[in-house]
Amino acid sequence: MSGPVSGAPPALLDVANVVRDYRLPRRTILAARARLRVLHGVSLSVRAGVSLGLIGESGAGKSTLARLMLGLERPDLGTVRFAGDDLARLGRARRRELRRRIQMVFQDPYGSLDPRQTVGRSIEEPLAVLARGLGPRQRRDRVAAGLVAVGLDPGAIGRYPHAFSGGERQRIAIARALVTDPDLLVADEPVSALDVSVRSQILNLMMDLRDQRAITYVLISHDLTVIRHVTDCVAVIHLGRIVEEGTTAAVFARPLHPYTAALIAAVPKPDPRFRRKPGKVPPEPHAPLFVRHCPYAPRCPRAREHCFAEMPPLGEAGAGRRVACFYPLE
Amino acid sequence: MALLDVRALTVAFDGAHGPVTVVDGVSFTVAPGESFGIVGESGCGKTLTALAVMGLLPPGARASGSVSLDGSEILNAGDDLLSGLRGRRMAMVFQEPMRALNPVRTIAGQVAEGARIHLGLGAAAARDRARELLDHVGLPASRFPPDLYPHELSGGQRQRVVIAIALAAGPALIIADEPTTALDVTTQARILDLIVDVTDAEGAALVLISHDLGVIAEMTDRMMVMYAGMIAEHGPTAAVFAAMAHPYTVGLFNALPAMREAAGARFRTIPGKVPPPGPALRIGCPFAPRCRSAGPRCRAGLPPPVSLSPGHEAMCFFPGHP
Repeated sequence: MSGPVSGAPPALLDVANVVRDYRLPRRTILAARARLRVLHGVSLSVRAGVSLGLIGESGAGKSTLARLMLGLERPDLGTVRFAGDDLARLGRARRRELRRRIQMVFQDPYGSLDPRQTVGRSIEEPLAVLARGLGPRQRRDRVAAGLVAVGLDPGAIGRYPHAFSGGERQRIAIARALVTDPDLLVADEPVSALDVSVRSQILNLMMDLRDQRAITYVLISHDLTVIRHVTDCVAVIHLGRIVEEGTTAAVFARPLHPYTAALIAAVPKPDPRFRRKPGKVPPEPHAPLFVRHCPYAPRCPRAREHCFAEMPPLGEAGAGRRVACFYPLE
Repeated sequence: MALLDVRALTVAFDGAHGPVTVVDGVSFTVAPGESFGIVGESGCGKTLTALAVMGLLPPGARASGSVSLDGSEILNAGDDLLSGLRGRRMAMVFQEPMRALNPVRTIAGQVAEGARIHLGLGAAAARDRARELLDHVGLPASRFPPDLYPHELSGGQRQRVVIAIALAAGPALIIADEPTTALDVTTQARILDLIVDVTDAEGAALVLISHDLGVIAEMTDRMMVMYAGMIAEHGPTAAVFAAMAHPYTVGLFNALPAMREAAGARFRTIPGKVPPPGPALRIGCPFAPRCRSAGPRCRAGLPPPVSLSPGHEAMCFFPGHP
């Protein structure tokens, strides 16, 4: 399992057997509220300095997992530990300390900044709450240094978000996340809303900051090329279960799970020789909720009888790799 | 004859300091059944070009030039002519399916509406047509009952409904504006396959707008790259990719973190950012401030089109020198 091995330093973040259910709205006024299981016993750990990418389709549970890692939601079963502490059992002081050490950046640089606050106030806000020892002067210095670190002019402090482009706002959001000097930054689709040329600038900035400040990223992106460039390890999530895990280089070079291979193959290639041909329209996949067999089997070109009879466990598959498949790719 | 013929299309808005030109002298044609790509970043005029073709420019926009579909002029045409063409001869698929769908009407009802209005079908016939179309786009009634509402569907499923609506009257031209931008990679692939399949089956032409050169490469016969409201480069897609000539096209291509590159390598960027739409009179190449190979000529006058191969042109004084 992925729990800390005795003797080894504890993982920065350790997710153990996490189950998360969402209660669905009632279909009728008297009906019981059905539950939808979005995470089915997920375990993974993030070690300091080893950035993790989470990939999978919409609805796979990536963002829910991120929210659990941030302590914004609690698991229904299982635990999420940060530096050994269970996020669900923290006192107020520890919780505040933890909020300082785990920060987040979201997809929408327009929605994540308060339009009525100056950029300086937005960035300073986490400091006021989380680093109370600092005086106003020190706080202002930290904010200015944060803006410089993300490539913005410190003069931006007194301006409002509307004066900035999408890329600049995402830089501001990153400055805000970094001002408390966190150990872990969870970034959920941080560049999806940005234009191609701006996206590269933000990704380069994130890689520079990681190298300069020893920050560990948990990065969620549906853009696999981004994950491949920025992260060290990757976990592939399919319908609330991890189906493959390993170093990013190994998984992209040689995916073992047919689902991972399908994800990688689906990335559009900027080469007209890969012209799409008309063919049979692929139907919308079924999303079975509670199944006893491999949930990917109905879509899997390699599925055999066994795959429809039993759930493949997430098992070791060579150095540092795990895969949940009875018939992994060679 | 071209199905769609756009000539010297210019779209401007009134700004505080005079007119602001957002589409500036854009010309292109689309043949029946052809697939034409428009690529560029936000603010380069892609969407307004499409809206001008559909006759859906926002109030306050002033358009000049010419847009003709099947030989009839539609730019600044009256609502009667346009509503006869929209849906029937041309249809649009938008980026955000949730905003294109009516949240309080069933999916089959919305698909049937187009068939009823444009084909003059009765209620029962329109319902049958809707069922057929939904089945065609991969939403068979066995799993997707016609009385579902948009919120009960995923993003990819909603986009399928939007495509079914676009197909309802068998249009000759489908304009798809970033149809897969909000979708994840496998859903994107399925929707792109669906678009290829339905346009092929209906013999419809496609104008596909995307910021993703990968999508343009996989989907289109011919393409144009827009920058700051103008065409930077255009030509057969294979020719453009084989010999990218405009430094902006090259920059867009290089900024893609390709699967072939070493992981962990820095992303190549285009310095600076897309300029905000400016006053009507422009001096020099709009890309010059961000261009590594720009010289004094580029800042003095607008570069003329340079022919690189049959049908492939770049508006650049130094084509092929990124």
